[in-house]
Amino acid sequence: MNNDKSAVTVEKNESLLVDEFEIIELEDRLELAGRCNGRCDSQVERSVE
Amino acid sequence: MTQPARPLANPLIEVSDFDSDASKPMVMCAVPDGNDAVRFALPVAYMDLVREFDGVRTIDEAIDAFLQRGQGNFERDWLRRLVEKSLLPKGILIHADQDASRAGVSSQPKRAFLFIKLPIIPPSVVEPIARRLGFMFKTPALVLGLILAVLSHAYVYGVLLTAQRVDLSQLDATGVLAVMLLSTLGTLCHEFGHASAASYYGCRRMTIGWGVYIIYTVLWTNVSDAWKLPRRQRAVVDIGGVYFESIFLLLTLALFLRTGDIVFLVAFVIIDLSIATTFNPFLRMDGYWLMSDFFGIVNLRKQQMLWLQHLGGKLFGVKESGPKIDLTPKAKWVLGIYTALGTLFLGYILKVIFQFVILSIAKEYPALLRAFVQAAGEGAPLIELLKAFLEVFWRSLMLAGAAVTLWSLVTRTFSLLGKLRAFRAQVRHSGA
Repeated sequence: MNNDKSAVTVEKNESLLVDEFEIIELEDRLELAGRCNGRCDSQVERSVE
Repeated sequence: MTQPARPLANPLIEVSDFDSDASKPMVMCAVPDGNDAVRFALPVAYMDLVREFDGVRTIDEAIDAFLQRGQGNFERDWLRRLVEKSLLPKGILIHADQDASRAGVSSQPKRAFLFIKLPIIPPSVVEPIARRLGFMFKTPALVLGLILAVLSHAYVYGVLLTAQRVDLSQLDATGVLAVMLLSTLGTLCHEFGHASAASYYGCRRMTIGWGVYIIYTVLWTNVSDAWKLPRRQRAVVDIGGVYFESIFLLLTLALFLRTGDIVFLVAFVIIDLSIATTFNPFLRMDGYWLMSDFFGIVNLRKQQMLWLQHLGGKLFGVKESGPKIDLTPKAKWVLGIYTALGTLFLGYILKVIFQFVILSIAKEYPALLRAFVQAAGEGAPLIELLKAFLEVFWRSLMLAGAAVTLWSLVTRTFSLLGKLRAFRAQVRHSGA
């Protein structure tokens, strides 16, 4: 049983989300937006100076 | 004696036309998984086959009925494998004793492509707000928003910033925290922009959350239901975030003009920098989805891997090297160029990780950590303590994100090398 579980994990990590029958699992549409942290601070200093 | 299986089409699946640049007509099939749904794009002919399964016919009888209709050029054995290896495991077809509402099985990791993924605002809160804001996507509101965005940027960069120099050293701890808070609020508006656009076109089940992507802390909105929309509407959902964030910028500008507080002007510029980043098509941000929707290439990053796999297969003379890429020639060209440029961008990201995260952040990290511990020990004012904590916190996330990204790259490289070895072995074997 454990072997089955690890097989599924490997499949999940490496899956190209398309099978041999050309059925595509559509990836989760997560619309990301970066938010400011300290990195923005140094960027803005460089960009507006 | 074992009774032959008599599967049926999952009665709870939602089927809609799927708008992509695939070379054959496709449908989108959403299979409930108990929480949301797992969505599949499949050729239209497969759904005709699925409809032949009524829970009374055996698999062979349903396939016969499909073949008698003369739809497509399929072999019986191939269709049987399609049913047993794909349609049943995915929950598109189910057995009579199976729970149809939990039949969908996904092969994606739960946290998708993020290093950390935490839902923070559930659909029950997001949807009512998004519905009320949907009017912002009517044409007059969109045109007005665009005009105001252009004018505000012209005024800030053409007038205000030429008149005064903005320097973060002008800000004290409270000011820096205020800028970070405004930036977070702007990003939250951005996410509600995506959700509102999706809601305007009839999508549901949008969740907003927080996460870490490569080395960036991000907010995200799950708008997976938008896969059912035509490409043009999906593109509006992609733009919706920047549209709402531009409106937030108007508010920031208004507050600067009213109070003269430099914090609001700095926040305006910082939020603009985030907007510029979001259009990068090689990061999985708005630019990625825009490119995917504009060219109709679904799962862009995965298709890229497939393309590389095929290229490797061709180089080693292997004809069948994994699943096929079903795209029009134009989309294949776009994918090729995207892959080449994406590889260059990967080099850039590695340079950033090395120069910024490893050389800079890792170097200053112990001193900042000591400063935070010292501030906490000496009972520093709360605002100073909070700033010291945030300085350590975001650097910790970046270091962890960089470590995970590098580890993932190493494992993927080994996996690719393994595949290349397998290709070589296959070629040698077929040669012998």
